[in-house]
Amino acid sequence: MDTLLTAAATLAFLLLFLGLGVWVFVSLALVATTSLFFLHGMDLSRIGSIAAGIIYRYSTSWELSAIPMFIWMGEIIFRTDISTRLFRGLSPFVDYIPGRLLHTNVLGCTLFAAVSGSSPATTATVGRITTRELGRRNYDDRLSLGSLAGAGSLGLLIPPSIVMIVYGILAEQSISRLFAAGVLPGLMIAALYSGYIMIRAKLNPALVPAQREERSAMDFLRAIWNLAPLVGLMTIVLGSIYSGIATPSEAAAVGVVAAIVLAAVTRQMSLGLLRDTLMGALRTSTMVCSILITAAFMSTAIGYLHIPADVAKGIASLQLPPWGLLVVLSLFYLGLGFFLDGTSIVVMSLPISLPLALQAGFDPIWFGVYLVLMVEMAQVTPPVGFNLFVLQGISGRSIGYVARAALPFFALMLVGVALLAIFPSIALWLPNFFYG
Amino acid sequence: TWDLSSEYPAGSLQGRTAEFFANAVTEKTGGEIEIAVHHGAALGYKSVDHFDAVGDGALQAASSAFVFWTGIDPIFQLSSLPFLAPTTKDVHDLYGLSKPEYAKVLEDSNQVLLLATPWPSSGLWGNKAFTATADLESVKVRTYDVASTETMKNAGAFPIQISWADVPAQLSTNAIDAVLTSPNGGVGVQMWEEQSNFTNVNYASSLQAIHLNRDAWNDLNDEQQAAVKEAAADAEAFGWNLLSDATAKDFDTMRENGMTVTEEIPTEFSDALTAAAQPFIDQWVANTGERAQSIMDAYKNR
Amino acid sequence: MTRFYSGVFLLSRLAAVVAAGAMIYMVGHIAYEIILRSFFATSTFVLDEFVGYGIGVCVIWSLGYVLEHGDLIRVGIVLEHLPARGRALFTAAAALITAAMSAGLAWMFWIRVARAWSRGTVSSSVAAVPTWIPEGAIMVGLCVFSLAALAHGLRHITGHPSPAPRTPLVTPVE
Ligand code: NA
Ligand code: NA
Repeated sequence: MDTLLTAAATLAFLLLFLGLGVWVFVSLALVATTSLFFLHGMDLSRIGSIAAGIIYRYSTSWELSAIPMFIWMGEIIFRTDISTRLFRGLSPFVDYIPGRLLHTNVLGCTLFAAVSGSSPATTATVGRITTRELGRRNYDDRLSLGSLAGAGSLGLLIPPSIVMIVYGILAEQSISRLFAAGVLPGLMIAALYSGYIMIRAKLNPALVPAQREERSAMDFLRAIWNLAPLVGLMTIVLGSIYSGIATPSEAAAVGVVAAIVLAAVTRQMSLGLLRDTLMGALRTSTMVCSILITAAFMSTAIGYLHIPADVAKGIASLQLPPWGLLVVLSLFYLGLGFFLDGTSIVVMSLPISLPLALQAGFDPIWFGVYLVLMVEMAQVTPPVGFNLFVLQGISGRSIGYVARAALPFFALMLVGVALLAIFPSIALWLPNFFYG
Repeated sequence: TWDLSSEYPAGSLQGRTAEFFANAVTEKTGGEIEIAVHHGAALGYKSVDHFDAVGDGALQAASSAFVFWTGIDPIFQLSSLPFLAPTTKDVHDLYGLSKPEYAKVLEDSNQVLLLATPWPSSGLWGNKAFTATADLESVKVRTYDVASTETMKNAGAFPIQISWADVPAQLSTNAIDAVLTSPNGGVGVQMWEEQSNFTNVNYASSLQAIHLNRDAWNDLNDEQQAAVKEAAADAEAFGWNLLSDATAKDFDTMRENGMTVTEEIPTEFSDALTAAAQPFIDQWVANTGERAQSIMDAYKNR
Repeated sequence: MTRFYSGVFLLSRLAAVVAAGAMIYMVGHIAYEIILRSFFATSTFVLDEFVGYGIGVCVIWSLGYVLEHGDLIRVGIVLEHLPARGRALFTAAAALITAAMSAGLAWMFWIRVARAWSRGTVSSSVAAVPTWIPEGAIMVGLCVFSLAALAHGLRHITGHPSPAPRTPLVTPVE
């Protein structure tokens, strides 16, 4: 099959450039260029024209802008005592839960997912805050990074969510309904992660530092006081969205302003701190956004090679029964997820996969949630997995290490997909409750 | 195989027209030319990018809304001028008069205008019917371009520009009260979840074109060119026919979902809206120059 | 050569300051927009367009600075198994390819800028920003990055130390 050969060659280019140690964002652009040149036979001037057009479109897109601002907010939290106080404040409360502070990754990402519509923004912001504190307290690095990689992708499933909006517009479905449909599956995945952390911590106590002493009621009061700054900050950001003052895309700026005010009120703000947070945010966000921008170019190249469309057409021609279709589609999306980012996976395959799914009797809202889950998985599968890149950047571990750490959480997402397929009402109950 | 890019979903009127055109070309050329339609901006291009992407040959063809090209050449504003062409016949007449100008601008940028089809006329979605200027007073309405923003401002409303993706959330928190968009656009995202009324103010039926790279066109032999021309004519007819059917069907869908549709507005309100739009139209004619004036004259005297 | 390296790095730092300014601007514009909308029932009507320009400058103009700080991600699978000299040469090759690629891209942007200029293309918003300005900004950013990547490559061939202060983004775990 011609398409599969093209796909294999593209993947080979990708592995070659990444393996040689070319920066990821450059590798993606090189893969796009070489596959258009060798596999499509385009001349360089046409490729250059495509590259400039797409790179200009994405690098100046409003959708990208929330990422650096959320990261800046996270950087302010990171460089003031807000983050240390958060962990001090949480400690007494989680002491009796196996895995203790490791749950802050899941909890933090879930909470942050309710503010941010993007997965790299969630992972980078929360990860920046938690990895240092957890490492300092001798929590298991692998479990910590894995849970971050997994939970970071909840930003897509829990509203607001950019991928869901894209799906809603393309599939002509109500975005409000989709948002409602994502809530329970998101919480379910979060619960699966927390459950897994508890089981691992029970089985192997060495993963979590030894428990501390008994606590008095006073300690708990102090703990609540310690939590106040971050809880206040999150309330402001969430409140701005759910009161309609800010759109989800604008909430990041609200977060930055609130964090600066908070740092000023607690007398931690100085010009030096402002500069350090700004430059730190610039470095992390350029690392993330540069990859997102050239990934868009690579997606375009893959679109020109007609890979997703042709494979989806191949699946259509198999005439599978609903369950068979779901299994094959899942394999297809896992495969696409190796080298594409979230939105492109949806956009490129949907014109063919949606009619197939509808014909097989799947509910379009349910299918949207399923698709977002598949996209979430793509965030943690190598060689191109944005959460893996982000975590490599903020932890300094190798991509292989981070990918292995994320593997159990990837498996838990698969379990989530299976549960969603067996009990569709996990997704459909809430929207039906709200909207009839 | 040609690649044809479109920003809109496969199920939208323009998506269906593009698909129809692609099939017609394949059929009429006996399979010599195939067109892969990339719906929903699957290749990463938006309408505004299509102009140069097709001119440069990065794409062979695209389906693009004129309203995004107003910065490239102001003539493309014409079909989205507010309250200028209320009926489908008006829209069609105006298109007939302006087609040579559109074709010429595209010609100058190394491309061929194959066909243009209209979007259903925009109306006001809201939680009440809008039948008098008083109803618009202080209403926060989401607009989408300079023309609609200016017109709504003049009519007494508070225009707000936010991205289409943010609209449902802003509606559910009452941060905006109304949305100016076509029946089709609102039905596409099932806007009845948040809004109870649609008022058909007949704002404007803007055009969307399918355009082809000139080198790709020149590579065709005479028979193929004739076949593509024929396919374009058929697709154009198809797209214009979709318009009235689609709007009636969308009104039905809205009513089925419990919405109130106000199909006609009082003449007084309609006149007031037209007056609110006039300054923008005059400004546009002045900026665009003689070619705009001559089309407007021909349109008035037709 | 030292003068060349530190000169290029100074340029990258200046560009990064502009990028940081763009980030502050984005926050400011959104805050201003929210205030206008909430209290004055009006809007700048150009929010997404201008913040879009901001993010473009923010990312592209800081690339060189971020590269020299070692924050751009690469996969270490092969590099880890090489001796120091081999690693430096691989890095140099990657950097030179990067320099060539961004120079080529900058050239493609130049074509766009020239066309936007001669055609008088503007954005279709109320601000009617001439398109050559944001496209030119991206082009300049790519040129700076291309130069930074070239210096980075040469530096690894000549074995010259980095002009960037060693301030790892990764927090060392004590
Ligand atoms: Na979210
Ligand atoms: Na992946």
